[in-house]
Amino acid sequence: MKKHDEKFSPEPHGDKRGENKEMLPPQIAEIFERKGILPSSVKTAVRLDMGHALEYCDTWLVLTEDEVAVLEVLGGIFEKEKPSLTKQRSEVGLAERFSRVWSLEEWDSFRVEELVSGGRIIATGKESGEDAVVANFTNSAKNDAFAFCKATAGEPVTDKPFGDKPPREHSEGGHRGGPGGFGPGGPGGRDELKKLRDLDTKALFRKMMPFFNRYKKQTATVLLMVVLSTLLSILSPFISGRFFYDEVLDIGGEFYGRIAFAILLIAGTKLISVVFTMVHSIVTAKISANVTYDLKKTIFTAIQKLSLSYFNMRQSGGIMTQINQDATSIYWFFVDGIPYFIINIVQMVAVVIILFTTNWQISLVAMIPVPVFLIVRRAFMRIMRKLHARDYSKRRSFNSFVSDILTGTRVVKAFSQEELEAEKFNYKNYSLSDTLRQNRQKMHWLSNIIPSVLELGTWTAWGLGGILVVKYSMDGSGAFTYGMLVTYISMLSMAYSPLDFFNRFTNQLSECLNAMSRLFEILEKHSDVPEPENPILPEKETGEVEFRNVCFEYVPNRRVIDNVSFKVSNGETIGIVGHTGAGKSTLVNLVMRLYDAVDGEVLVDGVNVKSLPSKYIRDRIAIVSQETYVFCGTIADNIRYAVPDASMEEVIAAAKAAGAHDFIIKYPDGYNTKIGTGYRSLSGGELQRVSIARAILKNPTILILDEATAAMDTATELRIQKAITEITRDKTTIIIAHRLSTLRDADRLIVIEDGRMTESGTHEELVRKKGSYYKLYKMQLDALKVIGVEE
Amino acid sequence: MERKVFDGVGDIKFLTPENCIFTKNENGFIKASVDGAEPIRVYLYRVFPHDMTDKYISVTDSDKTELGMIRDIAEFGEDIARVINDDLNRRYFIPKILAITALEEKFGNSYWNIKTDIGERTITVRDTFKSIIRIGEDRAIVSDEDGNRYEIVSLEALDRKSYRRIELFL
Repeated sequence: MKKHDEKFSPEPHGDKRGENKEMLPPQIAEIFERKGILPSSVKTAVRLDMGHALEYCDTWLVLTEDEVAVLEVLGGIFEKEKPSLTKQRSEVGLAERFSRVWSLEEWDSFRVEELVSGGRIIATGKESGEDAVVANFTNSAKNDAFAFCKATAGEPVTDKPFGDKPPREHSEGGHRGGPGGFGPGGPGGRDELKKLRDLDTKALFRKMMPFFNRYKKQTATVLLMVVLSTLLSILSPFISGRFFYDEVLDIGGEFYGRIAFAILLIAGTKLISVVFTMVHSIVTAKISANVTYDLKKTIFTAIQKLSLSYFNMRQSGGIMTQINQDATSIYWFFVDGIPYFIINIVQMVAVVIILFTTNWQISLVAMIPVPVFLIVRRAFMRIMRKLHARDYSKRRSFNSFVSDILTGTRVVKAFSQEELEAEKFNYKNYSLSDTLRQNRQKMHWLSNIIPSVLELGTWTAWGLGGILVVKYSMDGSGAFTYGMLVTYISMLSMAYSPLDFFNRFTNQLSECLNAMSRLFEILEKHSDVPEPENPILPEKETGEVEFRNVCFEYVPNRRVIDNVSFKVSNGETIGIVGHTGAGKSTLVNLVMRLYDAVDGEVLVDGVNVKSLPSKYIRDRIAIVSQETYVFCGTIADNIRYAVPDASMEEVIAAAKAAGAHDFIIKYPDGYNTKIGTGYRSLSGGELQRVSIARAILKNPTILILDEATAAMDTATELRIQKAITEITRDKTTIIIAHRLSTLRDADRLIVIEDGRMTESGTHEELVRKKGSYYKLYKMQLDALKVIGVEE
Repeated sequence: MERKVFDGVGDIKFLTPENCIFTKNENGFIKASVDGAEPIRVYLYRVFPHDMTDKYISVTDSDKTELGMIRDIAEFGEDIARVINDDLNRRYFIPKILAITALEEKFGNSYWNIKTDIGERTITVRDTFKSIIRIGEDRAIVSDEDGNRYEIVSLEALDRKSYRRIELFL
């Protein structure tokens, strides 16, 4: 099958006649050919994944010069991939199930209608004006459906049709779509998930190795110490058992009566073993701490480089917590897991050898409970996991309830719902404690029973060993002495103890692997807005911003910005007007290069932002956005965030210009007032003034105000606007606002509607034009009239 | 406590057989004529998709402007109710998971082989815990990495093996 994939992988919408046969797999092309659709006439082909009767099946759509043909086929030409099972190949013969041809003379406006899960392609009859369903698909094939509809309208399908991959990878899963994506792949895209899935334990550890390479010597020391201390700990029951009883206490012993020597020997061995253990613990802790430090540092740096879209797809608050937790799991695995794993392996191998050489018959019997134990233990672990999961989910629900109520205290009080909430709390609390109690009881019960399985082995060894000791002491041969038995028993428990450890170790290992994979996922994530390899620096800092036919989409095929072009010259102030969600802020994100345009160019100082070093862009642009953010620190620190070496006087001047000075000095701590999470919280208007001050102090060539004064009262806004006009006199300024009064000083206005630029001109021109700007203006004017204000 | 009417602002326009006539075009799409206007194609949405599948149906035009709301589709008689239901069922169509034949979890994501009422499928579920949403005690909705949704109508009714495979994520 693979071969076919490669064959029809080229761009499906390409207009290279003659090569088009390769757009379809040969079997499908054959069926189409039988229906009179020659492969050479096919302009575009896609495979969707749902039939007209809403079942999973391959549905092929082809577009020719004058028709759209739909073909549903039964039977797979794909490989079935089962995740935990072996790959199965199924190559069933194809059976055509349904087909229909839509003549483009009769039907047009092919479009996607999205439904709750998946969607359908709809066409409208040219004469009747009635809609009809052309084909169904699941979300996995949504991109292909969108692309196909675009192709039917003769629109070019972005510059990278179907990514670098075939429309849907036939080698991959029955109906799982390949990344038939257009434009930039979404963060954490399918490719990455697949890569993640293919990662195995070995690969992960190999990736971890570079972090340890710097500590080769220390790692070697640790290994040596671990082995030595283990060997000593094996020696110690031998000395305190066999040697002590048979050589020191027994009359015939070589060291008979030299008790002090024996005690010294026992203590000495122990002491040396302790020293070895201490050394390895200290060195391990140091290496691991350094490694996790390096790891966190590397990852944090990597995160900073990622584009905004990565953060938008995840709860950004959770990312750092996750990294911290993951780094901690890794730390403990290397400090607590690996060394003890080695210790236990060495110990078990050595002890089992000793046991069998001491007496293989007893050893054989004593080993019988081991498999039983392992089986029982497995079952036990499963129950435990279930109990833990139940525990966890109850706890989570309880915690989220409590934090929800505490955060919402104001609302609870305002609607006097305290009693009801207290009742709910009691219920949750009871249900949590009930679960905890039940779980604890079960866990205690189980955890006491399980170890006794191994006790069986010990008891058997005592019994058999006892019989042997008595037997050999009676015949005087001394082949199995009391000392040997004592040593044997303590060795036996040494052989058993790693069993428990290995179980714990597996859990720890899987936790560590999960953590590592998450961290490496971030490390290997490519930024959607990569730094240019050969950055171009503008010849002159003109302060110009230009949009040339810019298109943008956050989600493939959902245009948020559609073919927008405008230019802002140096010193000019431009206002962007539009409804909420029209795409105004997106324009700003594109100038800042938080995202890259899908089509067209955004130029700053005459150079495409994709070619400018991001530092260059961000050094010259200051932005005050609707979502202001302050960092933990003083107000002064926050104002000079972008210019850390600004003098206090400059800070004050900036604050004054932004109208922040007055409220700041009213705080008991003035400019030293700590703000940010956990400290004094500022009102929305105050926050905006602080961030305006921050932007002013940066003294950028391009200033962007994105609803920067929306949270202020009109009087404050007016005052600040005067200041802004002063400051922006020689700067390129882009102001976004829905309150039109905010834009009164703009030289020019552009109106954005549904991502398209519908109008542009001065206020007067636009009012005269009586277009959408005029409508907005009228609406706001009328609203003012209602409250008795007239312009 | 008597609730006050919101002075026109929050009024719901209910569509009844008196002010609205539903028809079906030849391709099965619903058209409506509201207050005697020209019939247009309308789009139906369930306001409470989980618990009231045939009550409170929002009717919009192609611009997503609400024309009105149906209180209970039964008001329109059996034939129209069936047409409306068919349309809604398509919009809210979610395959139902009948069995989970394999589930492998790796690094927080999981890979499932499922049998649904419309065929077998292999799906990848990101962040498994969060992607399974419980509805009430017994129902669950699973979302895969592409945003496809699957319904488990009754967790209780799943076979033992299938249940055991997802138990830990519930």
